[in-house]
Amino acid sequence: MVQTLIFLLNLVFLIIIYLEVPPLVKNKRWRELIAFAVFLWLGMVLSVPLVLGFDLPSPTKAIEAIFKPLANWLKPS
Amino acid sequence: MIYATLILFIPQNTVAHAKQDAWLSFLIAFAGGVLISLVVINLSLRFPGKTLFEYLPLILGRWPGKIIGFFYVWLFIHFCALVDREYCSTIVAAFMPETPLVVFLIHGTTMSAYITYCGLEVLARINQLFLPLNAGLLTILFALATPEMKVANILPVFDTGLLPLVKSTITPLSWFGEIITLAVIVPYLAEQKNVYRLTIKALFFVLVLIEIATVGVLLVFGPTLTSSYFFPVLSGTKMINIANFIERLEIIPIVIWITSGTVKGALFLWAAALGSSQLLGLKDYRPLILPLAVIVTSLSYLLHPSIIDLLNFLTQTFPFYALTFEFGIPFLLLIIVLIKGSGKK
Repeated sequence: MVQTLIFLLNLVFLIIIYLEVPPLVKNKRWRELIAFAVFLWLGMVLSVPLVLGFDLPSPTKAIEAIFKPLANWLKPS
Repeated sequence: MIYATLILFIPQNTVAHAKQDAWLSFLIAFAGGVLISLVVINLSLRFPGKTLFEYLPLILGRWPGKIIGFFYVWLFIHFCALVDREYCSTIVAAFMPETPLVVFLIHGTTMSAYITYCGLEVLARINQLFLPLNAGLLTILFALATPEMKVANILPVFDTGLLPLVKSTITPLSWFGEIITLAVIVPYLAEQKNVYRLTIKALFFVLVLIEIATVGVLLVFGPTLTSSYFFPVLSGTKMINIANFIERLEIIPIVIWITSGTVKGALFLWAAALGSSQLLGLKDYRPLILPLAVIVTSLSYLLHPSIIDLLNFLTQTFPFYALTFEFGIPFLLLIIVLIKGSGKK
């Protein structure tokens, strides 16, 4: 099951790379290519652990921690 | 080109605080939304032809501007993830509990990414197509629900006091505040002169739709029941039964949710892609859309373990978090611009 999912995920990434990278290389848009690679890498960092079943820390927790005093005021009594 | 996003989660939180006066808090929130949009448009018109991400470095200096800009990119990604999560969770929780959430998320984000790939014009045209459909369906829906309504449910008016009313206003205000996306859209609008009028018109339209839904639901259920439902609009539709013939109309709110959710997600995705490309000084934003869509999909799955967590976040933490960016930062920027006297005029 996990192998299939990983395979599908890789397929998705390969399709994205196939769609986007050749025109960029052809037009020598290196800046765009670097930005594309960084964002795609971020996407991999976020999605691969989800497929493998690891628990990533949710950014929601950080935001909730910052705004906790205000949020408590808004809680319905 | 009219820009309006439909927000159809009636916050049970608003009703929980304001009871039968919830419709009033949307009116106040509308006033706040107009104020936010005035600040944002004023700021945009001072830098004609430039988006938020281009004039931030001009106002604050190169690096601080870019850092704040990246916060905004994160905000738009987060909004997009939240929107996708909202309507996908609704489908899962209300209709298809056996199907994994990811399936809907991938569908939704792919659609949004495709719309974004076609550009802003296509996005606006799709909205033009869906908006009358959605508004009409919503109105018909609540017109059909009139037999179930009791006027006694929203009486007595003005019974809740000031503090609960203020509390109930904050959540809808943060939703009206999503008009901050205008800071990215204004340079691309066809009619630069009428931006103020068009925006206020669009906000008013949103207000009317929300009021139809809120008042309708309140009239059907009354304040106590409404605040205990997850999806009051959906439950309200389930009540419709005319001559044992016209019933089970739940598909209509789902149609509204999916269409408006896709458009809204596409708008935020577009803003995020354009923003990051402008911050990095790229010529084209389109290569960034698909990687951003992957990020959005996994983020919206990652953000909340359950729908209850999502609703709690949306009604309690989200307002302050969003208003910081929607109102706080634009307001400060406007003050800085006024003091420094930079920009046109």
